[in-house]
Amino acid sequence: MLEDEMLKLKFKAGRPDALAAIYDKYADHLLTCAVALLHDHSLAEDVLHDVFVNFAKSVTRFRIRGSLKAYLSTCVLNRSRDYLRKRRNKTNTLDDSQELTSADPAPDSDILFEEESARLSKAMAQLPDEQREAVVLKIKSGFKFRQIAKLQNISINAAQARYRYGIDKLRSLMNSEMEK
Amino acid sequence: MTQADNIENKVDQMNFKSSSALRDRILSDATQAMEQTIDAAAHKPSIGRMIMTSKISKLAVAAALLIAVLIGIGIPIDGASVALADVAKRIQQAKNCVFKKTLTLTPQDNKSTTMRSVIHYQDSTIREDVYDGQDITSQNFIDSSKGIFIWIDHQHKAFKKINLTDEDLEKLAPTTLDNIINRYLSKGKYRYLGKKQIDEIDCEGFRFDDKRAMLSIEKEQFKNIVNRLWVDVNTKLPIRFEIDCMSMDNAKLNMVQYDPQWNVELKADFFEPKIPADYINVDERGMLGINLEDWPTLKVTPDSAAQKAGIKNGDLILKVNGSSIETVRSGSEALNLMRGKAGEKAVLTVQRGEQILTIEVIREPWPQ
Repeated sequence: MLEDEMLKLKFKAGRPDALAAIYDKYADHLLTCAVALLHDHSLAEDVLHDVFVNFAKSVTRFRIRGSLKAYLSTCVLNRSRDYLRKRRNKTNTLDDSQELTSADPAPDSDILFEEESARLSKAMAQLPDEQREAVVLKIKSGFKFRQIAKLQNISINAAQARYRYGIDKLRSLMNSEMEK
Repeated sequence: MTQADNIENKVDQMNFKSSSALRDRILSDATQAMEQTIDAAAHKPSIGRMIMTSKISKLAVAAALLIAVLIGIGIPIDGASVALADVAKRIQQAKNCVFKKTLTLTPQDNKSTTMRSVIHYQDSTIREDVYDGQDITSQNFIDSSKGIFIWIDHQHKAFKKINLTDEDLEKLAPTTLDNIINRYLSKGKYRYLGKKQIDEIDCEGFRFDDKRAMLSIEKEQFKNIVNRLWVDVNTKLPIRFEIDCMSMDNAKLNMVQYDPQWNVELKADFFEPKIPADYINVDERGMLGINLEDWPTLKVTPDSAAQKAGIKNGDLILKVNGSSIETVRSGSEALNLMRGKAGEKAVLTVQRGEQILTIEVIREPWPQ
């Protein structure tokens, strides 16, 4: 946490090394959240790009009291929602049940597509958006139900319920996958 | 371990790694964005401006645009691949630029007049050379840091100096591109015009409507103003700027600046107006009140200095200030011979029937 406070101070001073350090510390986590939310690796990379460029542009007005991880996770959530909205407006350009694959991976790409992660991502894609968000925010970003409730504009009880339903459905999907 | 714990653990362990190529791309873009934001905050907008007035010229309109001094600011433009922050930064980095310009006025009778010029921008100075064929017929010089505007009319050997007031400067300030970006584009007060090729160059366009991009230090007013800025997507530099509008008496005006050159070698005194000694300040010039269109026969304007001195319609001119007019073949050539300052006299020798008369005419000031 102290390390993050130092990073925030250095970033606020406009130091590119701080920006790089923040990226190195949180990029994998944020990319994973974006993949989990979007079930589209290419779009998730775009989200990560947008989030970091906008974060960099905020340098002169940067004022974050809470944790960097929570702040950046929220940015990923908001940007992912934008992409989901756009994707929905297009006419089924991506079938939600489509297999997650790395679209045109770069030759020098060192992306590790863990089989388990890909299976999970596929299962998560079948959850309703709000349940998927609750699961990702709770488990991946360590948000409290109070924070999830605020982000989803619902009560804490409703946030807990969404999370529970999401986990139950995920378990059922993963089990049926195993039985195949 | 319960099944729920098991699933939660699996989600917790879910992991996708950012590739090194992605890292390089994102950090490069993000670092650039950060630097531009810091640059923008460090620089206050500077004023640069351009004016073209032509109350004296036959185009009784004025147009203004400025692309001189800019700052870089970070503004995401949805749907456009050209980042305007990049555009602003690229212009800021340029030493100077030269645009060709056309200004076309189409009155309601549809007989349009086009003025062609070349306009040079450097820091707070602007020089515009107005051409007729290969000849420079007039020039505009603006030095906004000194608040001076100078117009030189080479056809009539005249010039005019205008001290720009703070109000003029304030009026002109919004015409800077950084202001255009700040006031319109960043607030969504623009329409993205999409991509097109201009002279085989891939461009993206932005349209915004504000009269302040079209200014005059004269009192003409314009309406229905549309401004379009086209940017080269590769160089991130403006390639064309267009203004369409109407004057209050419904004449259409179209101004286009195009075919830019950047970082041109210009002589140190290029932006210094050079006014020949025999040029008259139009504020001091006098008027005889003689129409020369039937040269060498004179027509006299009622109540003019010439009529008061005794010149009559149909008088045939022989000499001006003692010099024969035999080599002067047209009224426009005669104009330079006849002109002079208000209060000064012109001595005209005319033939009226069988009489040869020498008449002194005291020039009157031009009406304001």
